[in-house]
Order: sequence, then C-alpha cells, then structure tokens
Amino acid sequence: MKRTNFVFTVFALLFIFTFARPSTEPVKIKIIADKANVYLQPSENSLVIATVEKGKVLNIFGIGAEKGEWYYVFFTLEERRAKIGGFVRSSMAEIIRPQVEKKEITQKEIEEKENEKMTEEERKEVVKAGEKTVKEIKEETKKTEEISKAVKSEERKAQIAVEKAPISSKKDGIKVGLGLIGGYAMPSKSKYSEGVIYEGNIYLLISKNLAIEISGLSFQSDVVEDPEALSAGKLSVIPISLSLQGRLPVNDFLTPYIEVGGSYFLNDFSLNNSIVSSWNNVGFDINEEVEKSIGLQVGMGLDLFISKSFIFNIDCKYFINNTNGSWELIDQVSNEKISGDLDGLDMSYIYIGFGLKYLFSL
Amino acid sequence: MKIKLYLLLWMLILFFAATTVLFSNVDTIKPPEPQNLSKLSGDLKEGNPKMEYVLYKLMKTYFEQGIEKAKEFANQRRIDMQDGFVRVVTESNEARYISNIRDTMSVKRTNYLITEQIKALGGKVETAYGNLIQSIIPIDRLNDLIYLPYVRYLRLPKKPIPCVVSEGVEKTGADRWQTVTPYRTSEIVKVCILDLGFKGYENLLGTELPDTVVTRSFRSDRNLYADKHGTACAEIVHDMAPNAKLWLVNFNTEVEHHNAVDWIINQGIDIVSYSIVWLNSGAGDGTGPICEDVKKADSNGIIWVSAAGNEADRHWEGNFNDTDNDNWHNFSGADEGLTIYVDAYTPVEMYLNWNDWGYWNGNRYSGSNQDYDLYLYIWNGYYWQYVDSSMNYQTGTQWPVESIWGWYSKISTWWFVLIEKYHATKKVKLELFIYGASGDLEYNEKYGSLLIPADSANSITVGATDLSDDSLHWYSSRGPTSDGRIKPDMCAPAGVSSFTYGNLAFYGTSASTPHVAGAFALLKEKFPYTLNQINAILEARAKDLGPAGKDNRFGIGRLKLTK
Repeated sequence: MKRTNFVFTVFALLFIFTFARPSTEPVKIKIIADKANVYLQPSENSLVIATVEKGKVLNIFGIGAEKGEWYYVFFTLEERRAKIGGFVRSSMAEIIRPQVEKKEITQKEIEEKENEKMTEEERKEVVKAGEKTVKEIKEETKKTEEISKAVKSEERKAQIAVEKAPISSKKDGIKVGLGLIGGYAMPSKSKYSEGVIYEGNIYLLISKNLAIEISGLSFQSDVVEDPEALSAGKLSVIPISLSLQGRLPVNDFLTPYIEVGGSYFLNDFSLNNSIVSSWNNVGFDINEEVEKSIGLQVGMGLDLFISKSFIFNIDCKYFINNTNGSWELIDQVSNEKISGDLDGLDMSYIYIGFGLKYLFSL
Repeated sequence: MKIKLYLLLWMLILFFAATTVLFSNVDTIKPPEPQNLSKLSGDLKEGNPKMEYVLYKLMKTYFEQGIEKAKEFANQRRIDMQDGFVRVVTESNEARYISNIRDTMSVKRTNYLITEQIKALGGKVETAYGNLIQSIIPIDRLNDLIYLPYVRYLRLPKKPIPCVVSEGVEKTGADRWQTVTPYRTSEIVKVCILDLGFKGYENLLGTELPDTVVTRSFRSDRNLYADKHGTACAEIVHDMAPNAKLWLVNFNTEVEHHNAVDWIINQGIDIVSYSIVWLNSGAGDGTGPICEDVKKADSNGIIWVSAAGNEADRHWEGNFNDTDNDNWHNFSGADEGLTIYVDAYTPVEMYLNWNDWGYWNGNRYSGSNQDYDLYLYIWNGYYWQYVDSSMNYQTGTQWPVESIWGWYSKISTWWFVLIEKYHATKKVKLELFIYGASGDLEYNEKYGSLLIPADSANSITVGATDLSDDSLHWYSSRGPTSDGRIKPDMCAPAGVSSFTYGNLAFYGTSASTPHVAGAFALLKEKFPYTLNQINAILEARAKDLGPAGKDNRFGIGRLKLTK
C-alpha cells in the first residue's frame, strides 16, 4: 500500500471511529431498588435529602467520580415543591434510554389513569388532607424553605464537587493548554526514512468549537542518496506551526477535531560523515544545504478528556513542505568550485502522534 | 713432438689472426672529421618534385636492378611493398587549381578521378581522408600516377612510432581516489586508447583490463594485433580508472588515423590516451594534419592526452650556419657533420625538417621553397663512405622535410650526418632527430625535442619522471614548441610494471601518458566537474618539479591527485 493511501486510510478510520460511534449518553435513570436515598454528596455519610421509590425515573446530570458509582440526579421533590439535585448510588438504579423514557411517560399516563380511578373515599382523604390549617401550611412552608436553603447550599457544594471530580468541560470559556506529543512520521518520498517525532504545543481553547494551536515539532530522517536530490545524510525538519482547530465535541469526554494552518520549516541537512571525510581525504570540501521554507499543514485528531485538566490526545498531521537546496564541491588546492541547485525538494510528511495536554483557565 | 709444437704455433697464429680480423673494424675512437666532401646532388636533382625522394629511389632501383633489388630496398626502408605493389599516399590538388567548382566538391571530384586512375593503373584504394588517398600501386606505375594534373604529391604513408598494475597508481594517489564514492554523477567514462595494436588483449579481459572492451581496427588489413604497445597502455588506464569503459582502436598510417579520430568523435569518447608520436608531420607549432585531428577532437569535448616523446637525447636543432660558404651546414665552428656511434645491427634513422612550412590552412601547408638535403656517411675504418641521402624537392609546395632510414652496419662504428643547402634564399632553423646512436649525439639539444602532436595546444602533453625519485627521465622530450609555448604540460611516472611487458618495466612517455589519461577518467567518474575543470585541478595539484612553475622539462610537475 502506498504511503499516501495509508495516510488517507488512517484519516478515514479516525473519522469513522469518531462519528460513527453510537451515543452512550445516559439521560435518565430508573430506580430499581425498593427504596433509594438521594444524598447531598456522593457519600453515604452525607445528608439524605430524599428517598425515592422503586420505578421512579429521574433525570441524570452526570456520573460520579468514584468509578461511576454515583449518579447525580436532578428532580422535583413533590413533597416540598422544590427542585433538588443529589447523588444516587448507581447500584440502586439503571440507565434508561429515550425509548425507555417514552415508556416512563406511558407509565405516568397509566398512573394518571389510575388516579382517575380513585375512589370517592380516597378523594375525600385528599380533600381532608388539603384542609390543613393555614398555620400548618405556613409552618410546613417555612420548614420547606429552610430545607430548600440547606439543599441549595448542599447543591452548590455538590456542583463544585462534581466539577472538581470527573466531568469534562461543559461550559465555554478561554482555556490554555500545554501539550507534549510523541509519534511516528512517514515522509512522502521514499528517499527519506520514517522516524520518531516529538512535538510541543501551546493550545488556546477559544470556545467549545474553536481552538488555536502553536506547535514545534522535531523530525530527523536518514536520507538515501538520490542523484537528482539530496545525497546520503541526515535531514532535520522542525516546523513551527500555527493551526486553527475546528472542534466537534461529541460529549464531555470525547472531542474530535480537524485543523489547518501554516508552518515555517527549519530544514537542515548534513551529509554523511563518511562522504565528507572521504572527500576531505582527497582534498575537497563538500557541502549540501537545504533552504528553510514555508508550508501548510492539515490534520485531525481526538481529545479524550480524562479529567477536567488532562487530555489524552491523538493527533495526525500532514505537512506540505517543498523547498530548494544547493550543493558545492571545492578543491582545496585549486579552489576550483562546482555547485548546483536542488530544486523542488519534496520533504512533506505525515505523522501520527499520541500525547497529553494539560488545560488551565486564563 | 715437433709436429705438435708446429700445430700449437699455427693455432696461436690463427687465433691472433682471427682476433685481429674480428676486432679490426671496431673502432671506438672517433675518426677524423671528413674533409672536402663533394655534393652528390650537383646542380640538378634526381627524381620529381611531385614524388617523395625515397619512392623515386625505389622505383629507380626497380627499373635499373629488378624486382628483387627493389624488394631488398623496400625491406631495408620498411616500405610496405608486397607482390610488386607499394603502399603510397596521394595528395590531391585543391579545386582552385583545376576547376571553378567549390572546394569540397572538387576534393571529392579529384579524389574520384585519382581513384579511377589508380584502378586503371592496376592499383587499389585502401582508404581516403580529405585530399589524401591511401592505395597500393604497382611499382612500375608509380611514375604514371604523378603526371596526372590533379595529383599534388605522391609519398609514402606517414607512420607513427610508439613511444609499457602500474606502480604509478599509488605514486600519483589514484588509489585513494578509487575509494571515493562518486558524487552527483553516475557517468561511465569512455576512454579510447588510440595506438598501433592490442596484441594479447583478450587474455587480459577481466583481470588487467575490464571485462569487456570495444575494439576497432582502422588498418587496411584490419589487424588489431599488430603490436602490443596499446595493450600495455590500456592496462595502465584500467589500473588508474578501473570503472572506465575502454575503446581499443588501432591504425597504421596517417590516413587511417584521420578516419579513426572521426570515428572516435562519433563514439562519444571522453578521453583519448595517445602514446604515439609522429616525425616530420608538422611544423611543431601545433599545426599539421595530426594536430588538426587533435584539435577536432578537442572541439568535440574530448580530452586528448599525448606523449611528449622520447627524443630528448636524439634531437638537435639550430639555425643553418655556413661559415665557409660551401653550402654544408656547420654544426659547430668548422665541423660540418654530426657524428654518432652506432652498435652493430642497430638501425640508423634520421629526420630533418626546417621552419619553412608555409601557411597551414587547416587542411595542408602551403609548402616550402627552401630546399635542404640530408646526407649520411659511415666510417669504414679507413675513410668516410657515402651511405645515403634524402633529396626531396622543395619548390614551393612540398613539406620542408628529409629523412633517411633503414641502414645498419654489421660492425659497431661511427656515422656522420650532413645537411646541405641545395637551394635556399634564407637561413632557416633546422631540426634533426637521429635514432640508433648508442651514446650521445655529438651535438644534442634536448630542448624543443617534442614530437607531433605533443606540440598541439589542444593536447595535454605528458613527460616521463622516475617512479622512485621524480627525476626527469633522460629521454623525455622537452619543450618549447616551435612557436614558443611551454611543453610538456605535466609529467607522470614511467618504468612501471605491466603484464604485457612482463619482467621488462614499461618505460617511456608512452607509459606516463595513460597515467594522466586514467587520472582524468578517474576524477571524471567521481564528480561532475568538466574535463577542463579537472585539468585545472590536476594542474593545481601536480607536484612542482624543476624550476618553480611550469617549465619545459616537467611542465607543471608530476601528476599527483592528492592535495
């Protein structure tokens, strides 16, 4: 398989992997235990703010940090007529999908129908219950407000806990990242050997969908002699790149991106020592150079949020680097010099790298 | 008893008698200078201005003494004659003398007419080049040919003379270059060894020579194996530049030479290794038919590396000097002869030319009207005995050359060379090459002893230095050229080993030349410098010998590839 084909195949697989993946987002949970406590914090020592019955369907807000053992749920506590956020042990519930939600809606309808079937006596009891005194209601309301305040306070704490613990960035805002990548580069010309690359980058996350990356990458390649191009030696290519990333977050955990940008290539070439010394041995200075150049790069990658600040990154870039060079041979005795140009040196290459990024807010 | 004593006495007498007879003629003491030698030519010359003198003598011998004597004469002079046919070269006239047709057409036409005439005379044309037609003609028809109006001159073909893992590879630093990886070139360098013959070359393929070589013979008999000199030269080129592709091309006459050079140019040859020299074939200023070939090759991008020649101790030159007005040249004071001592059975040869060649138009010289002749005498133990003379006409169109060769003596003795002014209106500078002397020439001038085409401005001319101490080999021809340019251009080792010559070291500028040609090839295959740039590199790196800078003995110095 040609290298170019291989590169495109890698790109294609990356896209397929990114976008063809089925959504795993848990939108609701259903209580499967007879009763389940809702805690203020993801701990059984925390305050129990509510108890829900089996079969209750709750909106899920996120997954707890403790290895996914907690669901953060958000629901209306009918008794207190207040919205409450809290943690439910994952073992007490199961995740349901939208279809299941539909099924839950149907269940409500069934419950309403059952309500309609309530007996007269039951209605009377409800009326009786509603005939509580205003005083009692006021007291109840007061208690509810106190609880509500406490709950809000705990809710705020819980939210902070949630942000601290596990969850991918969910809010837009400028963030800065620093990254290191190691990878493998494959030049487009077979005269240049493949090899390891190292990249350092600064990463500016402008919004959920847009980022700017400034990177420097080092790649060294062994060159096989080509009479029309470079002789045997070592080629060093260091592109200083500015890229614009279009980010397409799938969820808080996974963000594929594509990027495009320009690079200034610090190209450098040195002839093999054996060549230089053999010519020196017969009294000739030999030299080959390549010019620095400006080129483009396109790429794509995946950011996997392993925490709020750390990202595991898979990156693939194709650098288009065309430059010129020159060679010369000088007789140390007669100073007779011969030289030539090496036009159209194609030093483009693609690389696939894996690395880590650390994000912090400005 | 008495009988035995008589017998012993007689044996002693016979022994002394035999010894006396055997050694009576071995006179190593220089004989007296000849006095009052009469001019043999008198007021009238023999022969015909349109025919070389030696051909006239051959023909005369045939008509007066028969075919056997003519064969003997031809054999002695190394004239190609077989079954009564003589190999000759006919120079045709240019168009302006015979018609109003354009020159090029006229040359073709005159050549055609001459060719038809040769056929009509029972001869056969072997090859042609320009206005030169090489053919074999019945000896009794030579005279018929010269009377054709479009025959300019009839002469013998001019022939070259050869000037033998070489230690020069290490000496020059070529071994270090051979390990260098070629840079920005994958060129296979084509080197042609243009020589007399390549006898035994097949046995060396894959060892002393590359696995394969390209061969071509331009001789009329297509004999590639006429000599082994070229094989030894090819060995050295291969030693120096093992990756170079070799063309082995041979020839025998100057007409074949012209055709060979044209073919070499068409083959895209990069470098010619030319360990061949010519006598009486040019003015010594880079002009003449052979130098023209070199010039043509150079203009086609070929580097032509020529041997300087091995004639430093065989050369004399000086202005014609006749202090006593008897038309005999005075070599020094009253001495009118140049004396040499020659071992028994050693051939004696001499070649005279003078600086009256006229204008070279790229095709031929306008010619000389200053007529000088050459004479040869031998000391027979009692007096100087006439041996031979060369009395070519110089009436305005002929070359200013005379030559005598093919003579030897059964005893070691002295020989005497004289130069006569036959008809001349101006004093000229004479140049004489003499072969066969066992010691120094009585009058020897080592400078200016270059042969043709070592004088060419378009060739890299190579002299010979000693492998061990870089001293100039005694025989190595020296500059300057007749127009004052410094030659040789550089020197290279001689006296090196070769498979071809076995235990005999390969001496001569013939051995030096392929070292330089091989060096060009070696460097050419290593990087994309042009051949002219490589020449500059070689010049800069040469080990300067003799006086600082370029000089007429070592040129820029001995070939050295390292810095």
